Amino acid sequence: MSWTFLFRRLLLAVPTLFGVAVVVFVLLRVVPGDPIAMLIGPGATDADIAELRRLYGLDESIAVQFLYYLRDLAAGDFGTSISMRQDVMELVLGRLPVTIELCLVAMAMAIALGGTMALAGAYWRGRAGEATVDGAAGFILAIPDFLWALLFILFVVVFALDGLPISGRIGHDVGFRGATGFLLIESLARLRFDAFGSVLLHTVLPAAALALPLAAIVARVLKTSINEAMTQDYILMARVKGFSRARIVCREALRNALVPTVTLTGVQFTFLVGGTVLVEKIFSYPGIGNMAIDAVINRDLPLIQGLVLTFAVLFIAINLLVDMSYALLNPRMRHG
Amino acid sequence: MAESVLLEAAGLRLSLPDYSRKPPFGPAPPVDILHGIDLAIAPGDTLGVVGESGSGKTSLGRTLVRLHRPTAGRLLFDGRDIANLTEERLRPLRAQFQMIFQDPQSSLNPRRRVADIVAQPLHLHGRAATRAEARRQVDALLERVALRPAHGERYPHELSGGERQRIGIARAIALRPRLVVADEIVSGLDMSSQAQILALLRELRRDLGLALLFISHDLSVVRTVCDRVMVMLNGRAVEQGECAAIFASPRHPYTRRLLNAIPLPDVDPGWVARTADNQLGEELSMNVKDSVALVTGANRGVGEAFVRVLLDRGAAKIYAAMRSTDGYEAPDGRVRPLALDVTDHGRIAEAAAECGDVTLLINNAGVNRNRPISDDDALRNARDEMEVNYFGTMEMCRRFGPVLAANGGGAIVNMLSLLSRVNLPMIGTYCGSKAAALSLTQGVRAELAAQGTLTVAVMPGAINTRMGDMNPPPLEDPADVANAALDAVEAGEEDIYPGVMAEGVSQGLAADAKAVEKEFAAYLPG
Amino acid sequence: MTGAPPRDRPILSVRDLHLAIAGRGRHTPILRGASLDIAPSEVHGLVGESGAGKTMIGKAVLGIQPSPARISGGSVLFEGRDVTHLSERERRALMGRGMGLIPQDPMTSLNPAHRIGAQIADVLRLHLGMDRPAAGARALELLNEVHVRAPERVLRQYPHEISGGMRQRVLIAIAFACRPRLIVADEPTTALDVTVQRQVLALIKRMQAQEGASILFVTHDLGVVAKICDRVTVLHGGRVLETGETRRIVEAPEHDYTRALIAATPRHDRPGDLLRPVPEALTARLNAEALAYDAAHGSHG
Repeated sequence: MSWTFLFRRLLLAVPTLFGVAVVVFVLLRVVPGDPIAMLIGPGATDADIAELRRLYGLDESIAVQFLYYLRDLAAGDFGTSISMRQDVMELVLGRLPVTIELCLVAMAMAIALGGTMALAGAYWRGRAGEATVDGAAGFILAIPDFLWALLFILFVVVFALDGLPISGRIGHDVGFRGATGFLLIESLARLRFDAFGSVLLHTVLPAAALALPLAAIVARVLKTSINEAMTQDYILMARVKGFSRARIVCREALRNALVPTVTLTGVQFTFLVGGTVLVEKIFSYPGIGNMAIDAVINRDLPLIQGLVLTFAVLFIAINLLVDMSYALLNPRMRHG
Repeated sequence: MAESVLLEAAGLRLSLPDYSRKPPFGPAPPVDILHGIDLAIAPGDTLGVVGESGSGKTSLGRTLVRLHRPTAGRLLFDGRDIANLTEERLRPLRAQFQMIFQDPQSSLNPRRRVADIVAQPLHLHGRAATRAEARRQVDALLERVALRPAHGERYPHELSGGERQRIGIARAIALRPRLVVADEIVSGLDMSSQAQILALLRELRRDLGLALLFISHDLSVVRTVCDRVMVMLNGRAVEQGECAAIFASPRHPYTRRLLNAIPLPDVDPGWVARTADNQLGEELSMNVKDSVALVTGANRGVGEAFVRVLLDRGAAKIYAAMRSTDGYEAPDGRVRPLALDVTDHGRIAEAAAECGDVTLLINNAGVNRNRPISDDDALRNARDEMEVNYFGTMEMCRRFGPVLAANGGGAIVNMLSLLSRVNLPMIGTYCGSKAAALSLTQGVRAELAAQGTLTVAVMPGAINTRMGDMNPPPLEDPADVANAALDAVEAGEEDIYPGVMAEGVSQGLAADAKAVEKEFAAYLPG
Repeated sequence: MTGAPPRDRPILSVRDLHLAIAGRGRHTPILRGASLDIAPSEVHGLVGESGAGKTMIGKAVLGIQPSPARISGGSVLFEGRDVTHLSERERRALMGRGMGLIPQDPMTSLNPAHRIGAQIADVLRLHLGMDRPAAGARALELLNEVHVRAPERVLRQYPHEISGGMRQRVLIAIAFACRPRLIVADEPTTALDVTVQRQVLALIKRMQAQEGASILFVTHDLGVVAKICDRVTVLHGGRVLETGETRRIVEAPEHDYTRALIAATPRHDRPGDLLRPVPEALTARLNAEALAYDAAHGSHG
């Protein structure tokens, strides 16, 4: 992994983000619906509306609006949210840590569950163990993340599992506000285990809903690549060396199977991030996904633009991390 | 051969982009694969191309049938230069030269029946008007390669390796080409399939008058099919000629190494033991290209030739060491003049510190007082000769050994003389110093091998250096000697005797040393 | 070698071994009652063309034959003990100190994800119970023994960073690491350049002599056999056609097929028209004999 590679990738991200900005801007201007009409109460005069339009720059031609938009973007100004009357950048940055933590927890769950399933399936290759893993993965994949979310809520309600919260991010009685928004990390750092427990408990169900489909994909891809690795000559060598099957699967095959798995998991992880939009809404989880739905309902153009760009940055960052992880996993790519 | 030549290559060069060294922006840097290949194949002629992996033999085959476009040089097919023809203009010619690939498994489409695979070129070049006509020709082709028509209904994976290679041959001869390039086509096969394919090729040559370029790593296999052979090493042809002659008396050390390496099916209990001595030799070979060389005595004679040849062969940097750099004009920007007198041991130590990037040390500096032992100054002369030829060489090896080790091993070339092996009257003290230097070289070699350094002893006959040598002819061209020494570095050869004279004497010494010594003693004037 | 058992008792004895590949109602015999004996410190060549079953014998000895292959009769006695029906745990215990393998393809037989040093040290730790530093030190010694240049550096390198010849040297170091009594060498030089092949053969022979191990040397190349083996077994269609001292086999072969195989081996010291492919009539006769054998031994499988 060379610095020039990193530099090149970061440079390439600029036109990508510019493209996203253009597409979002144009799309939002083309779809019908007037943000001002959503914003203003009944009984407003034409003068009031005109004033508001001027305030948000909506009285200019689309081309001019676009130029202003680009100018502001370049200055790091995402504009002001129409529905919440707050700086978009501030709004998004305030909520972003929530979603990032949720995604990381979901990712960890997916890797733990998927990895275990894959190893079990590969270990019991061609036997009942593998069939069970395949069946389970197929079943999990048949249900999308938001349906899992609804199923979990149904489950909690029906079985009256009061200990498992299905709404919000932290108990109201905990009294922990935090300075960064990364509540999970911060509470741990401040040794507020009560807060940590509460946040974790609130995160379990939405994270699980997001994690399950990814776990099934990890299980399938990883198991296939382990099985593929198990046919290689160096596995035969390991058998001749006298290693146990468990060790061969975990030490000899797994490492070589990781590269193809990480590629696909990376791509799938972006879907997981996208899945937060619905899942956060279902669990009233205060992240940017939840915010995005509100922004769309309110036709809050600056906020939508800011959120879409934020998602784009996230996706690019994830893909970059995935590419960089190759070098760690595959010694062949470490030089050059 | 001059009267009719089917394929002729002259100065053929090939560079391909090296994607492993591609910078973030801009094109990948080129890497030289072929360094000026000359060859000619007459109609019905068979030329074997032999070399190990990385020798460029496969790239040569592909360039000859224009799967690669040569970077420089001429490539004449039937008198017409095809080196730079566009693919469009090549297409009508393509029927006349075909290629058979190494791996029949991957060069045959697994989803098509054998009959369709063989018929494909017929359809492509409009040689079969109807399906029935195509099928008739396919059956004839299958029979030609000793398969049954029933084989046409099968898929490639249902055939054995030998049968698949026959399909490759049938497809290649379908258009009745005049030249076939066969690249390692028997290397994946066992002895009995291999023998069948080789016999088939001999038959086809005879019956169809095919010209054949047969690429292989195995000299035994080449012998069975080819009239002529060309031996390749690092993109160069090191030796070319009639099979019978080359196999009976190979001239180039690398050809000899290749021949010696082949285990013939004769019981020979000492074979393995004879290898052990030279165990590290091959792995100690190094590329002259991109090396950083230091040549002593670089301003004249063989030293000057070394500098020129090193430049030609792509050395990255050359320290041209000489007693005084006054008036020396470097022939190229890569040449760095270096004031170094090999009798000044303090200066040698300094030079070793200054030139920390040397990977190839050429101890060429030598002195010959050219006086008999009856001379009044004999003792002083002998001391001078020892000082340069023996102590100078020794000190250079001693000081530069650690430099070479730090740069991954590298190589040392000690320019000795045939007279290291046998003494010549009237210059006895000179011969003595050279004999001492050879003995030293052998000792140093074993010591330095452990750190990965190859030590080559070069023992030429008389060289035409216009430096007033009194030796009898034939005189060798200094550039030939320098090239031979660098070939030895690339082949990992330890002792070489470049030139006809040196070659002959070394064989004579091996056969009957006493007789050679007597013959040399007879050079005493009067 | 000192301490070696007397030559009369073979270290490996393959007795009347039958092996077939079964699946989808088909039953393809691979080995048809093959037998051979290897004495202590003997290098025993196993020659035949592809499909003769020579590689399968090597795998059956190591207990690593692919799963559809079933041993349907006979035995493989290693130091007097039948190893054909060992449990996986017993087989693993036999590896390392009992048997080792020098594989055919050095390019794919080392794990690309692990450093060379770790791949030598892991067998030492498993079978000899060495701790990490001791195993690392012994790995360095082994690399020195197999004449790997700059061994300290190679220990830290990954397989893709070293040449094919060097990788085969590493695999030889691994095979000899725990001083096994028997090594199966499965076409160990087929994938190498000729000059490297010669050195690797010399290395195998030197290590074998030094350690006193026996080698089952599987190859299709009679030239290699002539240079390195003490005795040879010629195999065709899973049947042993002939076995004997190497000199006797090469210079005075008794079986037609052995003679044909020698005539089919190209030599650079003779004109090419002396090469004779194995006659088709002979191949047909041998195939017919194999089928007749199957008919007579229908009980197996």
